Amino acid sequence: MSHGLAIFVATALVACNGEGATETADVNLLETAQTRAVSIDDPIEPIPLRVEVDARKRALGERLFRDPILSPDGAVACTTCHDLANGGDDGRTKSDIVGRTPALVNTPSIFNAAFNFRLHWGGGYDELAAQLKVPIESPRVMATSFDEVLSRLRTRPDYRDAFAGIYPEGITQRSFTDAIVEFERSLVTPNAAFDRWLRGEADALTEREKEGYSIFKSHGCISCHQGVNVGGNMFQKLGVMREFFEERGTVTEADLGRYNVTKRDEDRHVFRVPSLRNVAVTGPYFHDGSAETLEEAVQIMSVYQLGRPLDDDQVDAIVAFLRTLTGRYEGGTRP
Amino acid sequence: MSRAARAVWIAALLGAAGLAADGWRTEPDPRVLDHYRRDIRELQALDARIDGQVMQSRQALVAHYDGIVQTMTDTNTVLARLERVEDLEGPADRERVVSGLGALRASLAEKAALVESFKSENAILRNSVRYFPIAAKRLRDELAASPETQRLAADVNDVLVSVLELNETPSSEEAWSRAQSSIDTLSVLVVPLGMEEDFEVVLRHAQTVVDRGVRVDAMTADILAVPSASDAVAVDTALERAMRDAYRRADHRKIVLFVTLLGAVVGLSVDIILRLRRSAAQERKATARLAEANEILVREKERERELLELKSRFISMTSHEFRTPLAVILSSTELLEAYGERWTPAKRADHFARIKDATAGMEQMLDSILVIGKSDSGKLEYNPVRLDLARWTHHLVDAFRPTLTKSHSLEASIDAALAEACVDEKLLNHIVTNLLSNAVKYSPAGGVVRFAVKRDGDRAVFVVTDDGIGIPAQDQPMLFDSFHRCSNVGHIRGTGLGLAVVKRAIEAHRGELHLASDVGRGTTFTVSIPLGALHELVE
Ligand code: HEC
Ligand code: HEC
Repeated sequence: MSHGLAIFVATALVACNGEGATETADVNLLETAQTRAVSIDDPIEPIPLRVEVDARKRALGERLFRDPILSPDGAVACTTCHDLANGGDDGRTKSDIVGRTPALVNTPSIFNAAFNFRLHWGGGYDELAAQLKVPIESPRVMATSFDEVLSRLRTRPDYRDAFAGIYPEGITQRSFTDAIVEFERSLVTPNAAFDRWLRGEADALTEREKEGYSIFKSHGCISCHQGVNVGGNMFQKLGVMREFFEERGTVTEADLGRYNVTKRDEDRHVFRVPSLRNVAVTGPYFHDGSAETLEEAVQIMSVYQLGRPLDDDQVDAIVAFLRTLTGRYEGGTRP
Repeated sequence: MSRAARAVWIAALLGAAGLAADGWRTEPDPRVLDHYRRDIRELQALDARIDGQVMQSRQALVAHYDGIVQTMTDTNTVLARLERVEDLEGPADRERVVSGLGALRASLAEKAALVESFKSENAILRNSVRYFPIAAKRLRDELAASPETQRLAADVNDVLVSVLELNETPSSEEAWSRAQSSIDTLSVLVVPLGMEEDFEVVLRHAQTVVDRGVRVDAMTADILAVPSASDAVAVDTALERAMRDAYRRADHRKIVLFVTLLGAVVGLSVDIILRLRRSAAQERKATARLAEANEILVREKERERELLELKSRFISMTSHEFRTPLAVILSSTELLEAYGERWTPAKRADHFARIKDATAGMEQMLDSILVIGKSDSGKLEYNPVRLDLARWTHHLVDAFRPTLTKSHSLEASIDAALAEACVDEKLLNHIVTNLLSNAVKYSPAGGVVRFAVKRDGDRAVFVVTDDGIGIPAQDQPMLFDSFHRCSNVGHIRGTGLGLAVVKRAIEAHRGELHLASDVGRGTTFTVSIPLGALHELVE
């Protein structure tokens, strides 16, 4: 026993003395315990300026993402609901496409989705690749199947060539998925004013916006909306401090959130905390699209999630801060 | 032999050789296995990291969960990799490895689910813990400002104080029921018009602290209890067995194939036979080398596994130990921030003293950990200096006396004939101070601690005797292990590090330690170290 302990402590010592950086991760705990007796809120991480993707796969993925050939009636592309020129969503309460079953939930933005720890409001999917079957097969979206999509693509020489140039196996579910996922991973929006400020550009934020960030932290929004996506790293009930659904009335299946995935009672009305990246341009808000404006959404949050209302001036400051989270999508060759 | 017959023979041969190649393929490739093992280890390390991160978050040292999310993701990636390699086994053994992997996946999934709930609950708790004092203080002050609401102010104050106390001593049933009853009292009082909302906010956050604190602590314990690390070890063991079987099978198959091959080539040229023999010999040699390499790996892995388990145990232990003083510091600081101005100087001083004590305790613990660690890795510096032992001991006793409370006394007898000695002053200080403070700590009020130092030939002998609780026989073998605490210590606080330090400091002096103890009657530690062993000890 003591031998193992010794080696570990010895590495800790070396690292503490600054004589080597080996195994620093392991001594983090010890160091943290020594130096951080008082807790400090970490800042939100900026969106990385670049993500590593394969340019050819990404370009093919983008073409597929924008092409209504994915739908049997040639009427719907991914961009129909995930409009890349407008925040990566559709700006509607819930999508309602002619000839499709109406959607049950508000469309989330596709931007920065790769940074979310789970996908969908109820967190039912772990990975982009697994999620793809939903838009392909759902009667609310493409209402088709992989086989049908692939055979439509195979009738097109341009797609046959494009796939063959990248994937030796040609057009298969695997290569199709891979290309779209590669494109989705490239959909990041760096350089928001807030990120520039985090990176040290002191005048990227106005005093008012900084005040908003400060309230966002001190009032407690940050305990749920945090990390690189200002959200998207945990689950929370909607109505932690006060029953939301009782007061809103008529509970639908979609309101059950994560319960639909796990069927555990404690997951009723639990949702993935959504990312607030680009939130100023992705209204309406919430899984049910019930809040038209940011002001409304923020006030609902402070009452139902935090149990302490904000006055109008504070709401206004937070909204000013939220507007600084709008980044720029800088990838993208248009066909 | 006709050309046609020869062609048939050659075809048969090639077929057999193909089979042989297949036989080889089922044998594990050492590089793949190496990766496999590394993955198992990495998995264990990640698992320990999750535990550490959860514990840190619970201590409120970490407010963000991206780190935990990342570690969980890494864990799943490594697990997926492990599952992909499983087909390197033969069918029979595969089952064992696969079922081991199944158990591992299940325990990791259980842990993941617990961690998810933990994140959600902890975020809410943390939020209320921070906001509650602010809201409650504001309300109390507002009420206190007007004479009609003075009484209500006192009730709000009760809630404030009892909830903060509960947060300070989360496991105390008594604190819990005090907090709950003060909340219950406040919630039925008639509230001044227009202040309903403020009361509701305070009550809601108070209730959150009371309810969720218990829940989050239970969750933390559950997460640490998930046996994912031992499941990983089980997979490793199953793999080990499967590998040994695979070797055995491969050997058996090779003999059969070899006989067939030999039979088949009888009709062919001697040249071919010779070539085959040569390659068979090479095969055997390669197999032997593989087996040897494997054995080395097994031994190495044994050690690494031990190390890993210790690492995670060590992380858990130290985090636990640091947690208590950190919680004290945090809460005293917060209390001072909230009421410092209104408190009497005495009460303020009391909280500052608590902070100081907690800090000193942490410092001492770190010090002990460093000594133990350096010693166990052979890096403990031994710096002997010439010392007048009698004087030095007098000084030490004088310095020790003020730390005694009225309920204990110390009788010291120091042999004036003690010569100069060559000893490491710092280490000797560790030895004597630890023994003395243990003697005091584990003695009942009114206890007398006797301390004698004398010379015995070329050795100095230190004897510390108390009439304390004693050391049970079953604890004695583990007495000097880090973090070991005797079964009869009850509520007496301690880290289980002091004697581990003593032992190592004595070893550095090539000294000896003798222990005589009677449970309930007392303990005597006798330490004897050479007076001047300087020349032997310096390499
Ligand atoms: C009819 C509108 C619509 C179309 C068309 C559509 N989506 Fe979506 N998308 C949604 C909705 C609604 C959700 C949320 C579903 C849920 O949470 O239950 C969603 C969620 C997603 C998400 C998860 C985002 C997150 O962070 O949770 C991804 C990724 C995604 N869609 C990709 C695609 C792709 C790829 C296509 C094209 C193949 C596509 N979508 C087409 C409506 C649409
Ligand atoms: C207890 C956790 C929690 C806290 C605290 C919290 N939120 Fe939320 N937030 C959520 C959840 C969960 C949702 C999704 C609810 C839904 O869609 O039904 C959400 C949704 C939102 C949305 C809508 C996002 C979208 O795209 O639809 C905004 C805006 C928002 N929160 C802002 C805030 C602000 C500002 C604060 C602080 C005043 C805050 N939140 C505090 C959990 C929290």
